[in-house]
Amino acid sequence: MAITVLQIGCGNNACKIGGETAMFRHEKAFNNSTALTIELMSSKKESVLMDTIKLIQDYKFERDGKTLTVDLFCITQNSSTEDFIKVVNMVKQNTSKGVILNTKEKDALKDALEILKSDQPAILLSSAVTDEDITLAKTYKASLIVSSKSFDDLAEQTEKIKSAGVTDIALNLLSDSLEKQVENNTIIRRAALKKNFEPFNYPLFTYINTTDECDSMIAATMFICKYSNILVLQKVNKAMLYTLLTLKQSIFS
Amino acid sequence: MKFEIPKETNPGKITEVVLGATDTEGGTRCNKITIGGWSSLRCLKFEGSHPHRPIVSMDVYDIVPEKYPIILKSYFGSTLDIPTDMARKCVEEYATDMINIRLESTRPEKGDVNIDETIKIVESIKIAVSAPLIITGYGSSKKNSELIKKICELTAGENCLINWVEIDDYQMIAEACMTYNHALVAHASFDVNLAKKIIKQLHDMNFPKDKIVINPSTNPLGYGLEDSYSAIEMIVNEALAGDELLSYPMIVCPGYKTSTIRENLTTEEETPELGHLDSRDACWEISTAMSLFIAGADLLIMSNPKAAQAVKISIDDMFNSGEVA
Repeated sequence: MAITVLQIGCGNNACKIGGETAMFRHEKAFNNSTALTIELMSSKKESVLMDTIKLIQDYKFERDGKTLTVDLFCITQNSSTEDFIKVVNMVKQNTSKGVILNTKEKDALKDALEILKSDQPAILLSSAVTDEDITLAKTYKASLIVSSKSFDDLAEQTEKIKSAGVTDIALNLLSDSLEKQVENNTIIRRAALKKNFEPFNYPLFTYINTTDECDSMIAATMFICKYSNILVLQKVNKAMLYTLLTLKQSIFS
Repeated sequence: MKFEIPKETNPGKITEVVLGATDTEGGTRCNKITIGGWSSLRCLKFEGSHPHRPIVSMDVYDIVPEKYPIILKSYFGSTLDIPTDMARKCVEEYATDMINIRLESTRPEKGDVNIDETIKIVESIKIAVSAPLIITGYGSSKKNSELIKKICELTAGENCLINWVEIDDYQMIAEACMTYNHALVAHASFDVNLAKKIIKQLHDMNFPKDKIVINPSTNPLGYGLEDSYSAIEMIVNEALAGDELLSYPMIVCPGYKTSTIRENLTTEEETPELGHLDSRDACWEISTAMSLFIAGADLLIMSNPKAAQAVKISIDDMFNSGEVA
């Protein structure tokens, strides 16, 4: 079995993830590298957000004959709906990269999806998937990133989504430590590839919960190596971007 | 829906290797360190035991390389010219678990210093710090073998880790390790079969199995890291599957290798896309080190103090203990 290939964003900047068929890169090369994703929090100042958007949009370099760039933005609502929609519009107007929407407010989500209606965004769910979420995903051709603290619940959610005809899914199993996250990522990937457990046959999503430079690098490195297909970082600089984009190129080769 | 966790049991286990010797064992180190002993892939504690945390060591040079990153010079300052001071700084300020004495000055192309001069430096570091020691030579040559043999004698009973021997050129150093009670690194050059051959040679001469460590070879990020990464994963997989010729802990050198690459030897003006010097060196070394750690390396020799401390703290957290068992 191969992990489902998922696309976030469209056009030249469409980001494809998944497709792995083996647990180790020496068994079969990993192709679609981890989507490096930068978080934009709605509570931040407009000038700070714009600086980040510009840095990420413009950041690129050549290495081994390829142009390496950052893949996605994750827009997180941690203030008013008005702030959140403002950030969605800033990203829409200033970048061509794919977007993950992270909000608990359904009205805010609908408005954001309307703005990004032709852009194939992804929706990060923080609670169990609902029929309304599935309908929104279908209507706007959006992917669903399902979250849970338990394997059983996560599997039930993906089965529910799949039975409704949606297969653009990513898995977010919430863990409380780095080593537990690696363990959980491995268990999910092994279940899919070696036990043909279909509810886990999807790419993996990981949110790195630190703003410290060194701790972010430690976590991001471990998860690029061990099965995270979407990796969200809260805060980055050029040195971190250069290193992590090079690491992606190395491991996915 | 009830999900059943797919658990794998491994017939093999990584051999435990003890490094360093306290006065109880006839040495003068303040502690001893055990690596290896684990029986499932890194971080997979649900299907195997991981009794000892991987170790962070730091490089101390007999002579600092001609090309050495500006940022590392700023961390170490004048101690770079005085190996004992650099060793003390690594132990006292940066809390490294072990000191790696990297010997380069006797190389014909790096000064061709007399062996006796280098030995004095090793002796002074041995006295200056009490952390367990790694002695890293520079590979296959008669002069290197003679140097390492004399250091084995000088450090008799300290249970140092002698780094390294290669296939078909191991006899003199391996015999010295056996005579003076040191552990030894077998160099594998990214090749699983080569690792098996050199270890078979050590087994054939009855070298103690609890004193062998493998060096799979380290390429830094951006310069073939993936070869080191996959070599480690292949060795670990075969070891856990029961191949006793590969069931040894592994040592890697992310610090030294990172400090030699183009990116860390340029200025911010020359390569602005790489960001600030301090961040780029630390980020590059962390990423190299943590990739090799997650693949299965047990002993990381690092150079950048910021990177070394962050990696050590993170590994300590993962293994739930700050104490070296």
